[in-house]
Amino acid sequence: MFIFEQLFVFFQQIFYLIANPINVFILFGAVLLGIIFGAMPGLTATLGVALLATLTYGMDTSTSLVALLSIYVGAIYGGSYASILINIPGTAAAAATALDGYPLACQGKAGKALGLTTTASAIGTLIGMLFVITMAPLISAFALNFTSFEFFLLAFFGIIISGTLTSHDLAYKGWIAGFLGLFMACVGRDQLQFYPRFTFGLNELDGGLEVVPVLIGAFGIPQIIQVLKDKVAGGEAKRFQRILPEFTEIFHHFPDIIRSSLIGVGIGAIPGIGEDIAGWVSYGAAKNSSKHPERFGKGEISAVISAETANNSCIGGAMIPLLSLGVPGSPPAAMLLGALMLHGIQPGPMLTFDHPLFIFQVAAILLLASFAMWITGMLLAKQVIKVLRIPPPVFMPIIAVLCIIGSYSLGLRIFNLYLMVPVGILAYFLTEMEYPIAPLVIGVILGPMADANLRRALMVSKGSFLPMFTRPVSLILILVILLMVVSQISWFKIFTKRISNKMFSRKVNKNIS
Amino acid sequence: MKKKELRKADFITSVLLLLFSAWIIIETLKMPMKDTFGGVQNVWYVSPALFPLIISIFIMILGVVLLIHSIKTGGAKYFLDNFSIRYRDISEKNIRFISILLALLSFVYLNIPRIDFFISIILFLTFFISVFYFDDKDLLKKLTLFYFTGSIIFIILFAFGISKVLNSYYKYSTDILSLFFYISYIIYNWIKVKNNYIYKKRLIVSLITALIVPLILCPTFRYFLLVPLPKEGLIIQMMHNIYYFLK
Amino acid sequence: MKKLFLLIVVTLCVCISFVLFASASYPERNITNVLVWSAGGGTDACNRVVMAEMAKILGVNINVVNKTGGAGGSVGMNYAYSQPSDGYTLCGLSESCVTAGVQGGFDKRMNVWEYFIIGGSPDVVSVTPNTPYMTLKDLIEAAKKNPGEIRAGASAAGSIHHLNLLALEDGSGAKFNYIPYTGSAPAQNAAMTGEVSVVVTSVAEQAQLIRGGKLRPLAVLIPESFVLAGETLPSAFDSYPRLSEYLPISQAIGFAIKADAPDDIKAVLIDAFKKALKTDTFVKWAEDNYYVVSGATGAEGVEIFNKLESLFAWTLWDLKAAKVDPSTLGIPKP
Repeated sequence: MFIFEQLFVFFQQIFYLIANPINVFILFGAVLLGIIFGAMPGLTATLGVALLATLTYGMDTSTSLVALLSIYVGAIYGGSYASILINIPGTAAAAATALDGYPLACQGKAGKALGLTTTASAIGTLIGMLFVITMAPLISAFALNFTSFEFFLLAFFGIIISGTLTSHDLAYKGWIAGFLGLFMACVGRDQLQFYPRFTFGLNELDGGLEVVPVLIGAFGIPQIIQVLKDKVAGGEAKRFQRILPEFTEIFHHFPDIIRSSLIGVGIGAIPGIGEDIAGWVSYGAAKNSSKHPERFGKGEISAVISAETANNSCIGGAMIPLLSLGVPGSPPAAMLLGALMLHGIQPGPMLTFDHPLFIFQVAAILLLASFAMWITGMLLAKQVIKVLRIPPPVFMPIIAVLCIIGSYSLGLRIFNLYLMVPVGILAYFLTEMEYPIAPLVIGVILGPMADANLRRALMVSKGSFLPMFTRPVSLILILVILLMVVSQISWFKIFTKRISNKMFSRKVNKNIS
Repeated sequence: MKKKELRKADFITSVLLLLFSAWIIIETLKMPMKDTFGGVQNVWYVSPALFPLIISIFIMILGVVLLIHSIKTGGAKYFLDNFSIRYRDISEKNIRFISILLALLSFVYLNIPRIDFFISIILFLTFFISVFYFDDKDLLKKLTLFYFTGSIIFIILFAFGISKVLNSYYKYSTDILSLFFYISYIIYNWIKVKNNYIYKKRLIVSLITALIVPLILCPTFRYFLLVPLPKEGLIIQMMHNIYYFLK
Repeated sequence: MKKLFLLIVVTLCVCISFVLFASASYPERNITNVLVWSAGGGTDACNRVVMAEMAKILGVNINVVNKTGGAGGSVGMNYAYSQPSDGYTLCGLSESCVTAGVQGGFDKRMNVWEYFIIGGSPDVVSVTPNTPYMTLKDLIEAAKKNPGEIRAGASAAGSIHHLNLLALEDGSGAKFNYIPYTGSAPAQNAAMTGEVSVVVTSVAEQAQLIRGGKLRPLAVLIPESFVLAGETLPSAFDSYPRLSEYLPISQAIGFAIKADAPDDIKAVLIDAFKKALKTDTFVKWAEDNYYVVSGATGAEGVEIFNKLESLFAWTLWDLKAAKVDPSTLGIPKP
């Protein structure tokens, strides 16, 4: 009965929201704005939510919540456009999408890829929302098992993924790029003792390197240089392209969608890390569980679906600690927290008493936003592909301007641009020497987390590594990491192949006899 | 890159990586390892040096692995054999690369911090689009040289403080100078392509694109996204005045 | 080509005419508030609410932009300071900005600004509910028995909450094992996970967790007791009177204008600021979020920031976390 009651309240909220035409208008407007934000290199979901927090200050709480959540959903999804079409991820969350999305676009399948990511993103958002209303207390209890040791291991896990994103040339080139990224993450004042590391006395470097200029520099500039210098053909826009994915195609990838959503919700629920990492972890998991890991990086559809589902389901996950503890689960959620405070709503354990309908409202908006996103996405995808028809010498310089103004407007710092260009040139030379760039970016994203949490964990345990093996969650993480490392080693691969071959041949024999 | 070239590049990178990791280690050893710092009781595992040290060790190991591989596969030999610096023919690709770098570097380091943002964008786009859109090696060379000379003049203006003197007479003198540079670039470009119908059309396309992009971007970012632009000079100030006049 | 040239000439003429277009009384353009901390924090929320109220009174928009980075918010402060003193650029800041000077981010003392202090939320010492400490005395005595064993979480070294923790240690003679976090939210989350058992953050940040029974408040670090949702939190001064030598170190969230701005502009802003703090919207918001409203302006505001500056600067210098000797900046010892 309780569940029915809850469902009733939930649908009541939906109808209450739709009944107001202004809400519907704002819903679609904010989703569209979010997609534009996500698609523009440098403009991120965080910036979008921050912007709308100001603009919606005068509106009533539910309307402004519609705007804020819609732009969040839209922006996380919109990142896939730039990733797939021009290989420059609009947001860090969509960086994993670019790995396989862009090769698909080069094969002339941009329409198909966009249609699938749109659907996958919508499903991801929906599943995330389901977790918010059904299992929030359980998940937040699970997230409370994450202390500094687990945070460190999680970051370490993310870094290990960079080892799986190997180069076509030498396998360990991925590691080299990853460690260079980790070094870049060390620059600036360290988070625990405020000691300046590698700042060369430059005050501007005190705050460390920001992720967005590094991301835009590392992905954007090499792409611009390659297209213009070597006249590399980019994505192809064919005359007729079916955007709407076939139902069977979605059904075929259902295991990917479910696994990725679970990963997304889980990562989102852990405070402090968000969509950026969810996409990568899901990509890594998809590659490890795939029957054809060799196809990854060359335009594998399940890779694109995994990354996109995870980063959108992460939104729901990020809501859980925000609503139950007042701790934001991801950077855009931190902005959302600020916006809610402006409206006099303080998320936390007392939220259900102070505003009993609030969680249902959030869930209802997420549901509506994912629908709005799907519809807008389907209509938009067809038009967006046309940008590929603009001649590259005209198109790429405009992209360059967008990259520059985008990474400037995040912190309004010209220094970000001074940083972005050298990083971009370094990344260009690395790509020329066939180093994968993604590990470098992962290193920059995860470096501070790994560094501070390792030292903090040791500080708490007084230098002992023992808690790493006695705490259940950290033990599981260690096992997963070990499995991942071992599966990369060649003799293990041969070993498993032999076993599976034997079993397979036996079955065949049986069938014959 | 060809395999041979790649192995040679690997050799150079591995040496650079080794030097780099050595530098990190030297830097980290200067960091506090024992005494209290920032109110935190310091022990080896709390030290800010811990993480960079781990990274540098890994970079060093990977550098050694790469070095061994490049020696085994003959990259090092190839590098040493071709060590003598010879005059290399400047290929079209290299000029293209130089043009891209010139456009990006002059935009970011020279124009954005000093010249009105609108003018900076329009200069950057006009040069960047036109130089590649013609797809003509000769034009590429000439236009790049023209733009390079202009940039040098501006560097001299800024480096020797001449711009400050000029701006003390009239606030936006440097902005006006850069507008003159923009116009002279267009005129130079026009003279070069006026005999070719396709090129003329392409020039017009690039001029229009270069104008429309900042016309859309500047007001959107300034008034809708509430982003103060990097340098608000002549044109942006004019935009403000029009905006408040209309309001 | 001729047409294009004509167009450019015409544009230039229009442009010059508009540049000469002179301005009249203040304020007639939108005002920009350059906020040195990121969106979503306490300083941001406070400033946005007050700015929205002030905008209604002044009749122009006030745009809050976040320009973050550098030590002690120095990037935003330097930017705001480089703008003309015409009253169209404000700088949203908080007490932690006074550390920018000794950390080498701002080469002037903080008295180059004139402040409009909105207020702040007092710091509270809380423990997790599964610990045996029922009062501050229990906690301090336990800490004295095992110096450096009880783990206390607070935001990064040199932050206001860290300074409050230090003052508590100095005033009571106890010694905690200070575990730094990147902010108040992660510190509180660490208390939830059991990584630390004591946490020092502001009442505003803890309110939800205290009311939800996830944290047990022991004492506020101000001379008077504080009422939170019907429950009185005792002052730490009651049990340890010596704390008055070190405390209170209170938050001072607000905004500033360059001190050399014309007096009539300052007067307009002060008037609007005082009115904004009295509006129902703001009063209710401050109450809901457990802020203590200050409203200090002019000489009073500068006085408060001078005190904070000398306290923070010298504490950081003693902790060896400062880059620049405060005496070279002319900052007096507290």
